Amino acid sequence: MNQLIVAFITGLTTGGLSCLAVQGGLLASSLEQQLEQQLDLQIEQEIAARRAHRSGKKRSRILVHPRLALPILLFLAAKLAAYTLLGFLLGALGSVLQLNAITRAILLIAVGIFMAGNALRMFNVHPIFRYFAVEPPKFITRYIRRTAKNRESFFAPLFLGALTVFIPCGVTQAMMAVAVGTGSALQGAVLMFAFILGTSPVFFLIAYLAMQLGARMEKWFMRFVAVVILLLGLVSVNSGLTLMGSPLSVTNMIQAAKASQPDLASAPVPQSDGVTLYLSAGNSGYAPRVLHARADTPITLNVVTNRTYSCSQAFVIPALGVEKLLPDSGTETISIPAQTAGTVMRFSCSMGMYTGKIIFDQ
Amino acid sequence: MVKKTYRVEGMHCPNCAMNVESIEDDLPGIKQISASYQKGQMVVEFDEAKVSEAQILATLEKRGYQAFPA
Repeated sequence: MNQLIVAFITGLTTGGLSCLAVQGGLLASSLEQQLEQQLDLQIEQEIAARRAHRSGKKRSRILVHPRLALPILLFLAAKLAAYTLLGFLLGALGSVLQLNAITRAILLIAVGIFMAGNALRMFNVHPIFRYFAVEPPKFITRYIRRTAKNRESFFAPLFLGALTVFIPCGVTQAMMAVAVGTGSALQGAVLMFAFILGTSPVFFLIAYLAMQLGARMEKWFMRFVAVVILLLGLVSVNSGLTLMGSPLSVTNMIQAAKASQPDLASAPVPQSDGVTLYLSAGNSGYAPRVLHARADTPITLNVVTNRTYSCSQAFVIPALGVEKLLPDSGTETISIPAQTAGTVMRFSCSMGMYTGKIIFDQ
Repeated sequence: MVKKTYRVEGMHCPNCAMNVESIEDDLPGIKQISASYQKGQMVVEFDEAKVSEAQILATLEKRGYQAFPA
């Protein structure tokens, strides 16, 4: 759910304007007919007003409200449907790839590098970063261009809205990569739906008010988008590192620094005795974050949930290849083979957001 | 018919390449045009009898792009 809210807000803030900068031309093409009609009407009214002025009548200015709302809405609805379908396919692709914790970690890191590369491209750091942008094949761009030219009433906005799927902006491409990472067709579809829905109000508002980003404003805006993408990219790399159990991830470093702080347990769990361990998986993470276990002895880890509906339900121990989807309320028992003294075994949720570790002592 | 390669400035995403290519809609003398955002260039094949290089560059400039012979 959190991921959907983030997707929606990303769409609402950066995605909408970034997509408009890229796909605005297509929308303008589909609205061209309506705009031409508006212009003709305005010219006619202007001429009529001049005649009236010459004949001594009071000059009145009549504002024209063309029927722009409907084609824009059709364009956006088609776009929403097309991207939801794309999210479904990307999620399905992710599920076919049978993502285990490590491949998901690699994917997250790759997505992060892709996003960071795109951000550096937007900053114009070096032309080499242009290769991070995906160029649609020429025959597709040519086809889109010709369709935009030969539009017919309401079919054009619908069709062109759907065609935007082939010319995603940088933020959308990043979101598409996240959709693959969900590993589920349904989640991928819902994620893309939330994101595109978020972009729609900005798209609609700016298109309707026929405002255009001035060159100066666009430059600053693109920088802002680049910073956001860069941050999201770094978060993604960090999640990947956490999921790999790497102590180098920021999450694990912060956790190490905060080790002395009290833990927030949602489900009360019995005291661990070193051989039988109890871990509470709550809505805001795992508690205790550090468990101590006896070395050279097989251990039983009981992960307890109590009305847990967050990503902490997807429990992962990378070192053991353990991946469990915990029940929302109940106990999942995991057997851990004997470990040597000094071993630090990290666990996390499947997205690497919530973490903790088991330290094996003598 | 001549074929020339130009370095294009002002393209900030792959779809700008699409915008650059769309000048062929306005200039019938262009036989073929292919722009690449990644390479930051365009290759134009045009009939000098129908359209001049200056016209092509001016049309591009109107759309916010500057081209220089590569």
